[in-house]
Amino acid sequence: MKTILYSNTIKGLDEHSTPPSSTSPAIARGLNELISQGIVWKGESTPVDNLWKTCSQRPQQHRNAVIPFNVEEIDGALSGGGLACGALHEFYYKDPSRNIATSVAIPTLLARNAIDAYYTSPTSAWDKVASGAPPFFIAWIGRRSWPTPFSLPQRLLSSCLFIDPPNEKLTLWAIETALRSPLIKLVIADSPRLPLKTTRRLSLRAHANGTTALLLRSLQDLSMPSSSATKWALAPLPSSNLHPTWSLTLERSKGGSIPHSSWAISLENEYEDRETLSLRLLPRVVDTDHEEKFKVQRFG
Amino acid sequence: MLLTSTVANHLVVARCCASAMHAGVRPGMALPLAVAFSPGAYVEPFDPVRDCRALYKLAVRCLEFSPLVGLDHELFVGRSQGTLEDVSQLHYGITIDLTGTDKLHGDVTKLALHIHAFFKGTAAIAVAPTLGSAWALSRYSVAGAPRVVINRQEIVPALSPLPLAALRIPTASLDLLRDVGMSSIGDLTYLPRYTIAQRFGKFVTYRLEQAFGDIEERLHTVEETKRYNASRIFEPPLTHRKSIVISIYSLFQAVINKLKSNKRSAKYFHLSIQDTAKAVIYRELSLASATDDIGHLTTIIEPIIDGMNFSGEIREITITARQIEATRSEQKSLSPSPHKDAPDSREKKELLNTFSVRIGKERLLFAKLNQSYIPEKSFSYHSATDAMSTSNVHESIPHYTLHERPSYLLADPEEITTISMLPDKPPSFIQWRGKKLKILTGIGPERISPEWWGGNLAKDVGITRDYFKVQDECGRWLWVFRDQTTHTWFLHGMWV
Repeated sequence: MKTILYSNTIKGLDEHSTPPSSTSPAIARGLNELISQGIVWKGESTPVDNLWKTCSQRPQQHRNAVIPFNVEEIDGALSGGGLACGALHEFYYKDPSRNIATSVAIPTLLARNAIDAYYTSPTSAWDKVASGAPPFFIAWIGRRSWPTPFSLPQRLLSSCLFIDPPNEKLTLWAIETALRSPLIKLVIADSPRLPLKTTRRLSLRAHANGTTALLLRSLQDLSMPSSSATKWALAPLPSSNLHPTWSLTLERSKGGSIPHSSWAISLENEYEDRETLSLRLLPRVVDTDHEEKFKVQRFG
Repeated sequence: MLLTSTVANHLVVARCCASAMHAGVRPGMALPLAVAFSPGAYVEPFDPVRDCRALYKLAVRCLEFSPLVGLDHELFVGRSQGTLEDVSQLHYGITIDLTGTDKLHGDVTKLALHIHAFFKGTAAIAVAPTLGSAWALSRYSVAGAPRVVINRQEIVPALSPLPLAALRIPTASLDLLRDVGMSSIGDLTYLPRYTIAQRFGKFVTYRLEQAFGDIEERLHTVEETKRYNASRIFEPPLTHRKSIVISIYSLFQAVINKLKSNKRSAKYFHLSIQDTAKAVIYRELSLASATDDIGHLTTIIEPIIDGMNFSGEIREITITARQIEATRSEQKSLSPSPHKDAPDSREKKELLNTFSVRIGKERLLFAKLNQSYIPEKSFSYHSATDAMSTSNVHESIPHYTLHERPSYLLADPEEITTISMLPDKPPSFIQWRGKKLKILTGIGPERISPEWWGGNLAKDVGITRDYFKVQDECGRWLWVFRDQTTHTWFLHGMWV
C-alpha cells in the first residue's frame, strides 16, 4: 500500500484559515476519499486534527440552532425563531374521543425541516463534509411514534432509525442513549410517563450533546411539571375541504414571548410532490371556546 | 508401527509403517498375524480424525514457507462428512504454493532442501509446476532427496512412467483402465482426450488435464487459528461485587488487547462466571458489527454487568471472543462516505451495537419502500444491522401525497361496525374501539385490488378493498375500507 502524508499547505486546510474558503469542502471531500481508501494517511498533528477538534465541538456551535416550522407566525412566537436544538419539546394530542394517543403529523414535519435546515445551512456545510455522511440520524423510538414510511421522503427515510423497545424502561433507556449518540441529531419518541427529575436529566443530556428530542406524551401528563423547552398540543379541527386540519397550541415556551398561542394549521405537499411538505396557516386564530361554536356553525 | 481398527469385532491393521511393510505386514491383515510378522511393533488404535488434526497443525507450521498452504480436498470432505476412514492414506499430504517464495531461499531446489530439512528428511518432497503433477511425483517418484520439476515441458516425461493411481482417480476408473491394459500415465497421453472421457469417465481427463496444467486447480488452504480468550482462576474465590466487576473488565481488556495485537476485531463475546458450587452464569454479547474498542465495549457491557447478580463465591471467570474479523484500518474522525458504497462509519456501528445488544436486533429497524400498491406491502422494516440492499427501485415506487395516504397506519386493520346509507358511499356512523363516531364527510371509494402477480391471492392482502377517507364529527380523518369478499369494514389508518 502506498502511503503519502499530504502536505500542510493544501489550500483550505491551513490551520489558520478558519472559516475555510469556499473551495475547501471539495478538497476535503477528495482528501477524505483518499483517506478512506487508505492511500493517504493522516499524520499526528496535521490540520485535519484541528478540523476534527472543531467538529467535535459541534454541540457548542449548534447552541443557537433551531428547527424551524417555516411559518413566520409560529417561528416568531418562539425565542430563537424555531424549536431550539439541544432541548426537549413535548407534544400532546388532544383526541376528542381519547382513543388515539399520539400524533405524528408535527414531528414528521419537523423531521423534514430539521434535515433540510441541517443540509442547507451554509455555516455548517464544512462540518457536514468533514464529519462524513450520513451525519444526521433521526431515531423514532416506540411504534406509536412511527409514521408510515411512505409519508416520509426518500432523503429522510434513509436516515431514519426505527427503534421498538419492548417496555417503558427500555424506551427511556433508548431515549437517553439516542440523546447521547453523536450521530443522532433528532429523537422522536413515544414517551413513557416522565417525572420532573427524569425530564431534567434528559434535558441536560440533550443540551450537552446538541441533540433535540420531540417527546410524544400522553394527555394526562400535560399538567405535570417538566423541564422541556416547549409544550405543544394538537387537536383535530373540522375542515371543509379534504385536507386534515388541526389546531396547534403552544402551551408553554421557556423564554418565549407569547404563551398559549394557537393556530389553525394544515399540512400540504407542494406541487403534489411527496418530497415536500409545508405547514399552512389557516386564516383564523382558534381558541377552545370558539372551536365548539365553529363546529356547530359549520356542521351542526 | 501398526495402527489398528476394529472390523467385525476383530482388530485389523489399518495402517502400517514402512519397516512393518517390509516385514510383510499389509493393511487389512489381522493384528495377531501382523504382530507375528513384525514382533515388537508399536500398536495404536487408528484414529483418522486425530491424524487429520495433527496434519492440519503441521500444515499450519508450514505457513512459514508460504502464505498458501493446503491439504487435499478429500481430507476436508472426509472430515466434514465423517468418512475419513475411507480416505486413502496417500491423501495425507501437505501442498505448499511456492509461487514467488523461492527467491527468499535462493532458488527452488534450495527451498526444497530447506523444506526437506524442516521435516528432518522424513517427507517425500516434489516440486512441480502444477498441483496434480507435484502430487503424483511426491507419492510415486521420490526416494530421499526432493524431486524438482521446473518447466512445464518436463511434466509429461516426468509423469509418464508413473502408475495411473498417481492421477488421483477413483478405483472404479482405475479398474476399467487396467482392464484395457493401461498401466501408466504415459499410456493415457497417446489417446485422444475425448475418448478417454467417453470410456472411463470425465474425471480421468479432468485429473489428467489438472496434472498437465491445462486446467487450473484450487488449493484448499489451511489457516492459522487463534483463540481470543482470557480467563482467571481466583484462589481464594472472590466475594466482593466490586472486585468481580473489576476482574471482568480487566479480562475484557485482555481479550481486546489480544485482538488488537493481531489486528482483529470480534463480533461475539461470551462471558462465563463459575462459582465454587460449580454453578455457571453465562452472558452472551452478540454485536451488530465487530469491534476492538474497549471504550465502546464497556458502554455495552456496563448495563449487562449492572444487571447481573453474583451470589456465592466466584472461582473462575472466562471471556471468549468469537466471530473474529480482520480489523479494517480506518481513521476514526474522517471517514466520509459521499458515495453510497462506503462502509459504515465507526460511530454508526457503535450506535447500532449499543442498541442491538440491549433491545435486540429485530427491534432496531430501517424502513424501505417497496414496489406495491397494497398499503401494508408498500413498505417494510428490516433490521438495521443487516446489510442494506441499495437497489434503485425508487423510481418505480408509487408516490402518494399526504392527502392520499394516511400518516399513521395501524399495525393491523381493526374491524369496525358501520351504518351505511348507500352502498359504495362512505358509512354514516362507525364504531371503533368502543366509541361511536358520526361521519360528516368522506371521499372514495379507492379500490385496491390484490396484485395478481403476487401469487398468493388467498391471503389477507389478496382481498379487494374499497378505501374511503372519512372525517368524523371531531374533525379527525380516518382511513376505512370495506372488504369486498366479506363486506366487513375495517379501520386501517388515520391522518394524525
